[in-house]
Amino acid sequence: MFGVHVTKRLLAFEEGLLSPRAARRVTAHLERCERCRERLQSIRLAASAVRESPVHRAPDSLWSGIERSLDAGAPAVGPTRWRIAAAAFATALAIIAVILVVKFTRRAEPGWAVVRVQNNETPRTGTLGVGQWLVTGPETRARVSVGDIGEVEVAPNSRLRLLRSRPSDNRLSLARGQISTRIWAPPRLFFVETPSALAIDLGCAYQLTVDEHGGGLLRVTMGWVMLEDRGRESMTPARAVCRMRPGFGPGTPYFEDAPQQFADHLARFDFGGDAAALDAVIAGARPRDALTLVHLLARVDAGMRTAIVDRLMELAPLPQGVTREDALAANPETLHRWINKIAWAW
Amino acid sequence: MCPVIDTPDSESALVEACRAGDRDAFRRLFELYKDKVYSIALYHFEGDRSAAADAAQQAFVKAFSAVRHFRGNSAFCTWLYRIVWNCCIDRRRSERGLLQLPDELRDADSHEDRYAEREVANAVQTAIRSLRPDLRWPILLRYFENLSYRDIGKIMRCSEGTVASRLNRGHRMLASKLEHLRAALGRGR
Repeated sequence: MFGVHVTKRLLAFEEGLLSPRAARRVTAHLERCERCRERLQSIRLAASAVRESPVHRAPDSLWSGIERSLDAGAPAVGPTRWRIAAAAFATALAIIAVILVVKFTRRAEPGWAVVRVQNNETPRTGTLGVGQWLVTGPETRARVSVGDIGEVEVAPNSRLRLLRSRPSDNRLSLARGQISTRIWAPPRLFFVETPSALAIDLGCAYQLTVDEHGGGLLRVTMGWVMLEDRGRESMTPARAVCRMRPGFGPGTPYFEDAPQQFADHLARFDFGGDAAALDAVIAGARPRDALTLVHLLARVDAGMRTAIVDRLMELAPLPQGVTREDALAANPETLHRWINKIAWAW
Repeated sequence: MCPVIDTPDSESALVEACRAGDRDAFRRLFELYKDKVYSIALYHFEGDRSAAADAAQQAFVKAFSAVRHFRGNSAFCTWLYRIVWNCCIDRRRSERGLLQLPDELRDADSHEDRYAEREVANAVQTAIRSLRPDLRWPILLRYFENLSYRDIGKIMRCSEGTVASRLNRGHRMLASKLEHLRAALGRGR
């Protein structure tokens, strides 16, 4: 009725990609053809809808993850001929190494048995291989056997991946959700990577939660767990918790029975650098909060250490082998020794 | 269209600094592109935030590691989005290794909860996500990023004609999926 429809040319017309002559033809057709006008309107609406779709905010943990990856294998800068040759040689070696590793270690890195539990249904089993993700839905739980050294309970809405399954390195990555872990192997054989920090098992049982922004909480129920990120360490014993945030790493551990105000002040100092909050933490510390104060010694300026050490000495005598000068110097070895020595008092 | 940065931190200056290994300059480029890159990855992975964050992270790491090879033959954003495209495709392949537990539910739609009150925005996002990746990406790069057919072709390694054809098909499908919202979409335009 109106000649050939111009449906296939409408997008190009809308985008201004037609020649002037072709555009005139389309315009003339549109004046007479309601169907093609409707179609053009649809194109405009769809394009407009996509343009106005919200941009999603990237999670705060993204940059810290990138930095960790870059630090693990920072690229060479300013390539020179010998550097390129060396890089090519290294790449060749790496490829050979990868082939050998894949060939000989795949068998040596067995998957972990998984039991999926949903409501009252009969449990079903599977195997989580190295590199695989395990995702639980809103009503699904899973129990993962960590080889023969422990087990991990995976809560609903969790996402984790098996990174390594070696005799000396059993490693998961928890992207989000919650796991409860029981390990009965010697320390430093089981690790959980999170967007904020690495959890290192020191012989224990614990619960680890990661929220949608990559932050999280460690709650230790037995033994010790160390959280670590870029040299910042938090030794967390049983009945203590430790918050963590991407970009900041682990916060300062504190006992679960600490007053909420104490925990809030600590968070404000850990993740906001609030000096007044630090004063409140020092003033509000109980004898068993020596755990928190000793950790803080390594995280404050030298000027603030005096107040912390004075408070520690008010709460309890310094342990044998730790002098006031040692404490003020915040030597890592001294602090570790201190934490270990007074652990029994907690 | 690629974001525009005021001098002295012009994009080319930042890229040049990145080529010399300047991590701070890379951080500034990252801040500029992170939300767009993450959003595109989020659409690619149909709302799976964890997968999108992983792919975005991998893309930025690759970009910084390879930026010294960037010769400026195309806009930086075109080069970056090509890396993002590759990372998303590679990751999708590797996700075939996802542990298949019977009746397992992937938490793909939870992010929609945030927009529950915005039915139209929700419907648009769902419609975009329902497109095949080879139709979805041209639509996103064209209307989300305002890239030219040529740049989209470079990113997806196809001709401008193929881009036009995919855009046409994507548009047709999108229009039919959004037909029921026509009245709502028409308001305020």
